[in-house]
Amino acid sequence: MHNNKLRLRDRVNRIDLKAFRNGFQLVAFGLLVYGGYIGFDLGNKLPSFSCVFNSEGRGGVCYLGILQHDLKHPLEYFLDFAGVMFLISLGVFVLWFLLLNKAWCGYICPLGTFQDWITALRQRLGIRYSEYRWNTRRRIQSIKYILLALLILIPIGISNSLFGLGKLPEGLSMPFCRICPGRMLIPLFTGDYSQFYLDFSSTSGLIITSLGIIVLGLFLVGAFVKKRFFCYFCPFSALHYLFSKAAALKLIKEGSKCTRCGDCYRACDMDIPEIADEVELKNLVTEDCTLCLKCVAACPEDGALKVTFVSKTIFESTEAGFNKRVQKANADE
Amino acid sequence: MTKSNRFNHAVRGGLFGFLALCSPGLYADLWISPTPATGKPMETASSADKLLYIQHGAYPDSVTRQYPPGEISESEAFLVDPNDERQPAQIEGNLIRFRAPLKGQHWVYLQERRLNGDTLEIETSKYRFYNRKGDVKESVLKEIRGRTNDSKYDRPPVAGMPLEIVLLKPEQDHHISCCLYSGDRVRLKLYLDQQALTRTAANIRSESGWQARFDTDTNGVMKFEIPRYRYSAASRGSPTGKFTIARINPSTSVPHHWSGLPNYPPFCYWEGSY
Repeated sequence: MHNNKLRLRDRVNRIDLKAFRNGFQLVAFGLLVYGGYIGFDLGNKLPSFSCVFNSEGRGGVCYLGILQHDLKHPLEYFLDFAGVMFLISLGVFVLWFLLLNKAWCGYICPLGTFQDWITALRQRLGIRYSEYRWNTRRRIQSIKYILLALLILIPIGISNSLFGLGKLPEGLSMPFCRICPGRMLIPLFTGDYSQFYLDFSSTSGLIITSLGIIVLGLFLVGAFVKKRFFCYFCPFSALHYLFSKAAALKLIKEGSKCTRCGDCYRACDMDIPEIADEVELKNLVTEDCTLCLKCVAACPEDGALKVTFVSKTIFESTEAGFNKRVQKANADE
Repeated sequence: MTKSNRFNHAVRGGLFGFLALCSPGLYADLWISPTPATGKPMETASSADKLLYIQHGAYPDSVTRQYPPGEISESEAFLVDPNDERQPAQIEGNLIRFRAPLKGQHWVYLQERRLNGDTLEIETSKYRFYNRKGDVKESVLKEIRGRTNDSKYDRPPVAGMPLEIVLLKPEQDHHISCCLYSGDRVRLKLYLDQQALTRTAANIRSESGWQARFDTDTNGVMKFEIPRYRYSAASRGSPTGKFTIARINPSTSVPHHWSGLPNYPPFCYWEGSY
C-alpha cells in the first residue's frame, strides 16, 4: 500500500505538466463557454471570467459582474433580505475561490486560456515575447487594484449619489463589464458578435463602448507580445489576492533546498521575481501568480517547490520529474 | 345550474369559431399593477407575501369595470417563479395575492373569461417583477446554487395562456441588468396558443403616453426602441426603474379552433420591480 502510494506520487511528480494543463484548460474552456448548451451550470459566483454576455453557451457566470450588479443598489437595499442574499453570494464566491486559489486563473479562466493560445501561436511563428522592466512591472501592479476600487465605487456612487457619481448615467453602473475584453471575445466563440458595437445614442455610451473596443484591441495585441498580458491589470486577480492566503491550494517553497538557479523564474509567465529570490517566505502565491505550476515543473531540486492542498502535498519538484520533462521537451523539438 | 357549470357547459357546447382579435378601443385595457387605482397600496413588498392590483380602463387611467348584466365570468391567476414552477395566486375582488419567497424574476398571469351571448371573451394580462424581498429560509439554497438561467428574457410561452407577449433579449445589453432603459432596443415576441403570431400589427403604449404601431415579422417578433424623452426615467432612489407597458392590440383576424366563439380583447404586458 505504502509502495503504491509512493509510485503514484512519483508518477504525479513526473507528469507532463504542459500537456496536462493544456488539456485541463481546454476542458474548462469548453465547459464554461459551451456548457450551457448541454445544461452544465456552475452558478453565477465563479472566480473566473465566464462571461454573462455569453448568454446561451455559458456554463457559469463570472462573479465580478454579479458584484457590480449587486452594488448598484441603494444602501438601504442591503439592510434586510437583499443584504443577506448579497453576503451569501459573496460567501459562495469566496468558497469557490478558496478551493482552487489562483489556479482559477492558471487553469480555468477562459480569458487566461485564450491568452495562452495566442502565446502558443506566437511561439509557432517564432516571435519572441517582451518582458517588463522590474520598475515598470512594479508600477503597473497597482493598476488592477485601482480598477477593482473603481468597479466597486462607481456602482455604489451612482446608486447612492456619492462622490459626485450620481450624475453619471445608470448605464455605467457596471463599468468593468463594459470595458472587459471578455464581453466581446467570449460570446464570439459561440458565434455571437452582437457585443461588437459602438453606442452612438449618448456621449457616455459612445465613450464606454469605444473604450471597450480599445481595451479589446490592447488585449489582443498585448497578449501577442507579452505572456498573460491582461492578467497584470486584471481586477479579478486583485480581488482573488484578498482571499488567497486562506485558500486550500498553496504553492510552497522550501528556501533551504533552493539553489537560486533561476529556472523557475524563466518558466514563469508572469515574471514573478520572488519565485527565484525568496528563500524565507514559504507561501509563494503572490498577487500576480496564476498558480500555473510551471515553476514547480521547471525546478530540478527535490522538494524545493511544491503544491499543497489542505497541507497535503499533491505535486512537487523532483530531479527525476525535471529530467523527464526536459527529455520530453527535447524530443518534441 | 351554478354559474360555473353554466359557463363550462356553454364553453363545451360551443362550435368551431374564429378568433376575432378586436380593433383598438373596442375593449378597455386589463392590467396588473403594484398600486391600486386610488389610494395607497397595502404594504406587502417587504415580505414574501405579495399583493398586486387588477386594473381596468384606458391605460393608464383606471376605472371600476361595469360588467353588462347577465354576463357570466370567471378569473384565474397564477405565478411563475424563478425556478420555472407555477405557483398559485388567489384573486380577491381586484386583488391578486400570492407568495414569492425567492429572489429573482417572477411573472404573474391573469386570465378573465366571460361568456357574452355565444361568444367566449378572454382577456389576458401578464406582469413581470423582480422580487427583491423574499424569504431568507426559502431562498438560501437557490442563492447558493446561483442558477444562471432565471433571466427575464426569452421565456417560453406558458401553457394555458392563449395569448402571450414574451420579452426577448435586446440586441445589445442582455446580461443581468434588471431594467430596461430609455434608448434600449426592445424585442417582443407574440404568441397565440404558444405559436408565434406572425405578420400582425400591434400597438405599444407607454405610461407617459407614447404610442406606436408595429408589425411582427415572420417569426412573430417586433422591435422598437424605447423613446428617450417619453419613458419613465429610472430615478436615483429607485434604480430598478418604473414600469414599461407593452399593450398589444392585435387587429388582424386569425382562424382558430375553439369551443365556442372566443373573442380576444387586448393583451397587456407589464414590467416592473416589486
